[in-house]
Amino acid sequence: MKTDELITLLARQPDALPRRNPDRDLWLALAVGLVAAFALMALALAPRPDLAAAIAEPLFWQKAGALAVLAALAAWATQRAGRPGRALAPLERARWAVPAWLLAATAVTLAVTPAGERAALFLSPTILVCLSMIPVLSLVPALALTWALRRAAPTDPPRAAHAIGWAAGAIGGLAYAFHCQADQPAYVLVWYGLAIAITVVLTQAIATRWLRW
Amino acid sequence: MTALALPLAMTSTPTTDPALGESAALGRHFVAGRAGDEGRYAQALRECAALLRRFTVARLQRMAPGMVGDAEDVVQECLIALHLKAHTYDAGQPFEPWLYAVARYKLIDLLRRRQPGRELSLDLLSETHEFADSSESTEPQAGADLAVLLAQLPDKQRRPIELVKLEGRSVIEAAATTGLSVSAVKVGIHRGLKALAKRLAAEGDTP
Repeated sequence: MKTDELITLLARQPDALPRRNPDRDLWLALAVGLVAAFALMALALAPRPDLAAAIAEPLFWQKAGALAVLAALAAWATQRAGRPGRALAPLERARWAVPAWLLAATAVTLAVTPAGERAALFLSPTILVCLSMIPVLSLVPALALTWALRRAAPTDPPRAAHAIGWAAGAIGGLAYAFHCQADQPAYVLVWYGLAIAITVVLTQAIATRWLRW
Repeated sequence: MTALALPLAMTSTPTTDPALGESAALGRHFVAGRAGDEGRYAQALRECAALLRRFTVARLQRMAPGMVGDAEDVVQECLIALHLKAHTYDAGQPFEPWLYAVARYKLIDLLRRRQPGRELSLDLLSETHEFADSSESTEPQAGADLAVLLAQLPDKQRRPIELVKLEGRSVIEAAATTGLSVSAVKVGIHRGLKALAKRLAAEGDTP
């Protein structure tokens, strides 16, 4: 086939294709992911019984805020990953501000806590639930974001899947935060962090091949 | 970026500015053409093809000299990709980084698909290419034949492409002729072009 023939073929009625808007797709995926994660949390786990009291506590908002910021930064990176030629590295670096913030909060908490009570800051009876449920709650967000990015043009699929994993893990963590009663930054840093890391690894292993085009 | 603020309706040859101006103009032509201006879009694609050809040949010479003969396959795959993924170009951004990012992806894709061991048959393929080019025409040409590839597509995709893209009918006419809905015609064209790009790639794999 001659290249000029192909150009003629493509140029005939160039607008005769379904209209697509990658940003709208991404907003839709985020909305679907958030609603699904919170609905699943409410139905399968139930919100924490002390929710009314918790939302008056700065510690709760530090936890929810950290996860929301992480989700937003990773979602932004996901958007960039779907647009060829856009830099991804600055957003990937910015993401680490969230663990850094939690680390600083952990250090402050440890400093003001008597030595004998420090270990308790890292513990909760629900560690295993946290580790298993955050990836489960992340499933729909990850699928929705993968769908959105497939309609864009990810030129580095493993890195795009990586960004999706972070975003989905943070959204799953955010939903889980309304069930989990452990609000200490030390706990969030270690166990939410590990749960999100598991989500990132799984997403990258599974979604990368779906993002090829 | 002020150069981008020129009137979008401009159809004549854009600006006498140096390289950046031309790149910005190509981006504008591409976007405006893709939105429905056939002549302008064809011209933009032709300019893209020239950039892609230069890029692909240079890269292949450096990375896989035995595959330089496949450059035109890559150019064509890239053109289809630019067309199908046009919505991922943000008109406020420089055009060429977008173009080359797509080209790089398609080139890496090709190199990954062609594992070692295929090297020999690829050399043969590139020879036949030279033959075809010198005997038939001087126009750049790839191995796959459009008619053959089109014939392999399912009717739902082939008919919309034939009617709209080859015979120049409108989408509405094509819908009336085929009995499909307007959106089914559009989806058929979209999927058909995607499948065409895949077959184009596969054709290069198994000569």
